[in-house]
Amino acid sequence: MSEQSRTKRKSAIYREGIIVAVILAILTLVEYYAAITPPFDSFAILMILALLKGILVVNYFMHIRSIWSEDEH
Amino acid sequence: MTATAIEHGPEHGHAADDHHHAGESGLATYLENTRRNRLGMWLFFASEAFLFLALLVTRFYLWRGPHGEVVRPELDQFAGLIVTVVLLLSSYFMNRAEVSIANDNRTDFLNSLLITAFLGTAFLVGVVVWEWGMFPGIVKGHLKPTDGVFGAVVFGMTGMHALHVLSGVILILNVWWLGRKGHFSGERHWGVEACAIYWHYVDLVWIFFYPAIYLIGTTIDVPH
Repeated sequence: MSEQSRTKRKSAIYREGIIVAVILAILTLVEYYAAITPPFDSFAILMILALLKGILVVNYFMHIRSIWSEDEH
Repeated sequence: MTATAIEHGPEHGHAADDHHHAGESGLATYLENTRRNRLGMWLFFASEAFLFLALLVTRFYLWRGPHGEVVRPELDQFAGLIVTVVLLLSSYFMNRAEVSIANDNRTDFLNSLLITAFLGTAFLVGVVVWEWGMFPGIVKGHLKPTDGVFGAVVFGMTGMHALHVLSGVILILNVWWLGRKGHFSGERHWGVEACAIYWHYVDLVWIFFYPAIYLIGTTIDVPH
């Protein structure tokens, strides 16, 4: 891998972390306002929002795919 | 041929190549062990999930109104939102620490760990001071552990989670200390990865606890 493509990959990984954090923050605010705005304060809507956040964390921060992948370390 | 081989001729060159191959096979063993460790860590998370799921089920089973509707006690909504954002932000910095050590950026790795530990401590202070009202001189809490099913469940859920946050902060500071002494590298940093996924797991639990405690259900007055 060339130095240029390595640098690009590095900044892409850092950028991915920022994007995920911003989406999580937005979903948390949506969750908060949904809870105080009927009829969006239902159990189903709030749990779906929590599930979306959970999937993001498990996938991007906890790297669940690395259990099966051979090349990540 | 390696720089050592060029400098010292063919005999030393073979020795350097052997050393290089030994290093490669050592790394292969390390990666294989890391794969196993990773699986072990996820099995540990699965066992912990039973504990947290039991607490969630308890909340939805016990917090019911007179007609069976889902209810919740009046809690400090603003404090709940702030501690949640603080914990999410700490997850970002933990991820940054892991990415930094994988890229051999030691300064960013150590700084991100310290920020994560600070935010984790801020979360703990937020829960203990604002929600529990442990220091009534500063903030008077909304509930006591003795306030029936509401107090018991709130303190049970937040207490069990806070214990995990506390152990996570201790783990992060331990990794920071080892990192300062050069214990980790871009190729070998399972200790950092394990600490990072543990911290994200603690965050994941709160992602479900936050709506369960603060957001879902009709607010009711809890008799003290």
